[in-house]
Amino acid sequence: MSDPNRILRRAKRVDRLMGAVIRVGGLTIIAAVIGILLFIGKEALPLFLPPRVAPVAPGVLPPPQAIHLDESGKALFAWDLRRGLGAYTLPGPAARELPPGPPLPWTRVLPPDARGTALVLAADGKFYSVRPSWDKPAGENDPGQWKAEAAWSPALDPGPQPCEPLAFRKVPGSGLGGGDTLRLAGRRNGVLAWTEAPAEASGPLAWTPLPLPGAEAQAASWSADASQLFVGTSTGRLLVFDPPSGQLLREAAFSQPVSALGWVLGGTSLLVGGRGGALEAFQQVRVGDAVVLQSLRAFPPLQGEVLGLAASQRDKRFLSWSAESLAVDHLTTGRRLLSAPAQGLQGAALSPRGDLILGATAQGQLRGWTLEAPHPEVSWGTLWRPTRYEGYAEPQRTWQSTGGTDDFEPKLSLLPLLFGTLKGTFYALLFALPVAIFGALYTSQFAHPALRNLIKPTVEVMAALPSVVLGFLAGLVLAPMFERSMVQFVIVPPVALSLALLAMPLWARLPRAFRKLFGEGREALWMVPLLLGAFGAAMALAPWIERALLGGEYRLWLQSHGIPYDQRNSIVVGFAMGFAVIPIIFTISEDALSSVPRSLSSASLACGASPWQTAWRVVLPTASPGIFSAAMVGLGRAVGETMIVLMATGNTPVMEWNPFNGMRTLAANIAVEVPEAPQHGSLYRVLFLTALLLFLLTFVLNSAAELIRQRLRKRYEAL
Amino acid sequence: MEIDDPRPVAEPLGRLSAAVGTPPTPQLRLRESPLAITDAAVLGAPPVLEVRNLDLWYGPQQALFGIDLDVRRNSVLALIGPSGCGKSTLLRCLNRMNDLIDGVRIRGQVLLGGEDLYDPAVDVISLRKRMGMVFQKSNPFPKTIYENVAYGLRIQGERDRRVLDEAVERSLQGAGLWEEVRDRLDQSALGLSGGQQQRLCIARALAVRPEVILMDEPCSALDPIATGRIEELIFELKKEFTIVIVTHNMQQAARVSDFTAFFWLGKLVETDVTERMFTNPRQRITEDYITGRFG
Ligand SMILES: Nc1ncnc2c1ncn2[C@@H]1O[C@H](COP(=O)(O)OP(=O)(O)OP(=O)(O)O)[C@@H](O)[C@H]1O
Ligand SMILES: [Mg+2]
Repeated sequence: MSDPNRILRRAKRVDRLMGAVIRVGGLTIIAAVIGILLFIGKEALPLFLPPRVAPVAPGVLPPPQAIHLDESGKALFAWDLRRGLGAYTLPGPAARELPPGPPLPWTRVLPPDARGTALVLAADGKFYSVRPSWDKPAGENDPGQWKAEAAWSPALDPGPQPCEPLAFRKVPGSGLGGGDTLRLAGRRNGVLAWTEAPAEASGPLAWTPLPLPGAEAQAASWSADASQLFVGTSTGRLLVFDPPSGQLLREAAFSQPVSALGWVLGGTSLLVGGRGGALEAFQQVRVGDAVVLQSLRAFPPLQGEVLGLAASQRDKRFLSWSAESLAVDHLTTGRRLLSAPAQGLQGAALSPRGDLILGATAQGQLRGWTLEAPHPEVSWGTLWRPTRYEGYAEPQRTWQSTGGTDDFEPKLSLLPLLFGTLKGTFYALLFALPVAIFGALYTSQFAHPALRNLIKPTVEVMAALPSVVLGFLAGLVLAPMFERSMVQFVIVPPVALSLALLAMPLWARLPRAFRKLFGEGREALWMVPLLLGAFGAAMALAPWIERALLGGEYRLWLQSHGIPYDQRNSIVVGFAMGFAVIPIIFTISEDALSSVPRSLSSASLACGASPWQTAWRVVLPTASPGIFSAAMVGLGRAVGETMIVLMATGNTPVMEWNPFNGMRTLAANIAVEVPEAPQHGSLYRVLFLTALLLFLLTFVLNSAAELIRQRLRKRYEAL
Repeated sequence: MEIDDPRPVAEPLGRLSAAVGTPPTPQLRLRESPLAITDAAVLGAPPVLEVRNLDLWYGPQQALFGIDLDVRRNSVLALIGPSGCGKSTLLRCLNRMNDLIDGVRIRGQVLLGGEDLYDPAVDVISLRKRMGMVFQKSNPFPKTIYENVAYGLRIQGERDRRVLDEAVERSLQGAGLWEEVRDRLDQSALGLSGGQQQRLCIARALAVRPEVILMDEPCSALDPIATGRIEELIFELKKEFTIVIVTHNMQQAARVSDFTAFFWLGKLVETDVTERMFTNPRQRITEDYITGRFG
């Protein structure tokens, strides 16, 4: 016989071992969850890190009027009134050879545009344009191997009167005869005038004056296609001209005399700098029937007169500088990415990528900064608050992560996604909660045990249905079906209810024996003919209703009431997602209702309460914490549900409660956007942020549900 | 075996007025003679409930065999007998709580004021309003004390606050709980002690002014002091209500009841005035059971 002590010791040992195993398992799970959370957080965090700025000291140049940085940030061209165009590579800067240009000294340089095309007024009083470039043999990375090239245009003769150029744009030829054309605007004797000429023009230019009563043009800029001329005046007005007709199209007021004009990438937003350092972006938008020129956003002012503006070729950031300071701002967020004092600044340049800023002083001193701001277009404000975007007259809450062009301004507001999530959840629960809870109430309190034993496993099988299948059915079968017979579906419930009310008195007339056999606990059987009857009646009634009340076509009727109809709409989603969450709500509620002690319902019945009163006044309130927690779990499930919303909604991020249009939820958005999001890009990180949000949302909901369930358990222990 | 021709019982009646007038403390009552006092008035009272030849089956198994029993107005009838003999089953027949159990079949009659409870035309719900029930284990609803008592009236659609207030106070006073809970009516009933909860359940049953109160071992989960209080209460309630009580406690049966019915294996062995039952039972088996010699 074995020694009882030994058995006891062994039992204790096994106990300790299993305890340790379980503890390790549990801790691993907790650690894994925290690890995932931390990882998601780490991926999203860089969105909110401040930009990193580091000064660099590139050296000294002959004092340039204007500079243009190469894409690589390793080479630059500098325009100097006395020495002409120079090419330099960094570090150094090391001067590189260039063919000679127009006669020196120059009178004026129009600063280079984004591609580096500049216009100079040379010693001979003629205009020359140039677009210098670097020849990089076979993608060579070492700037020492590059060759600088500069092809000067033929001289343009401004005519007998001296002209101070203000704006210049080369319009590429259409390709069908006729080469490029040039459009120029300038000041002749203080009068604004413009001209258009073929790029290879030889004769004197023919100027057309543009009347500008009571003000002098200080700065001008052509729109991207050179069809419109934007002019800033000494009186602080901004004017838009249609030069061929000489017509003043629009105007707007600026707070100060205008000193510089420029464009943000995309050519939609006009940047305006003032003599007092004010900085503001303007745009032309359609308001009602009219197009107006209005302020898009004002930026913190610079110190001193704004001398120049330059845009990045990657995103909506731009550089502005004055003789005392220099700043890089982002158009969408209005965030100042870099701000540096810079005494005696004359020319400055932003590298096309926007990561290197060079400033040159009148003494030729070069100053530089590297700017690391990978996600300047995202800020807490753009994520959560209505934001003014280019091309919109009003602040928008929009999600539109990618567009057709490179200069597209991403609109990453999480509000429509959160709204879509809540809307989808709302419609799903609107359908699921009553069905699941009343179903559970019926099953646990009224149904015949045989029926109950049939319902419970059926519902559990329902839970096993993959949501892809549900989404697929909803999107491809249910949605078209709804569209065809929306009226029928809408009237089925009231028709069924009225049929039931009509049938009730008949039921009371039936023989008692029959009622006893098919009555209490077997009511569900009667639902089948009732529902079939209701469907039949709805089918018969719907065309008539549609004709009589809705003018023959319900979609047109909806439209005429300002309600657009989408095929994949919230009703379809509510139905499909409701179907997905019903099993879990039903099961938990049913458990809660069944665990209400029998003694309570007996007490209620013995007091003379009807079974319905007992269920409604005693069982349901007693089980209410459990039902609440069931609803919360269902809510958590609906919030995180992806496949169904992905397939059954149009994924349109609109913010309307209208049940006849779709939505885009946080979860579906992640699924939709992930293939489009380059790693470590802004979109990629914002997606991680939404994942974090989703995680927190479901975490909070599930924790709340669990807490309530604990409370419920305690409550029953007291009984 | 029924109580048809009640014979007067002389001696113990003398002590009745004293007992009713000044309720003795529980300790005192427990130490007193095990024999109770049958009110002379109830012996001649008309029957409220008449059970006639009642058979009951749980599925194939018969649990009650031809029961014949009368319950007289304003009397206390104690049902005693060994476990599983069908006391609770019979009690549940009196307010048709057996209907809720699946597979129950009933033959025979239960007459309440001459009307058959099992007549198909009878409305079970209004019937149960006439038959209050108190269960073995106290089962207050997880609501406030006030709502517990007011429940029966509320389900009848009573909304008038004054009527409810009045009924709650009356019932709690009737159940001897008023003084203890008058300041905490809006607190949860689950915060009361076991004995208080059981009296609350009695108050809940009283609130709808039933004709008969059915009690299934109401004191089995209570300590002697709480038991004593409930016994006193039964003594008081008798003035207004008719009570049927199931108990395993012979002393309790002797103390509180006017009549006693002894069941054995689903059959009513004998029923009589309590004094006679405990002093001079007619059947041998009754005597064995009462004296504890029962196997
Ligand atoms: N719901 C039921 N289904 C089937 N049989 C039952 C049911 N309730 C009671 N019985 C059976 O009926 C018989 C009588 O039971 P009952 O509960 O009436 O006894 P009792 O006298 O109240 O016993 P106790 O003193 O232990 O409470 C028992 O044999 C019991 O097994
Ligand atoms: Mg019992």
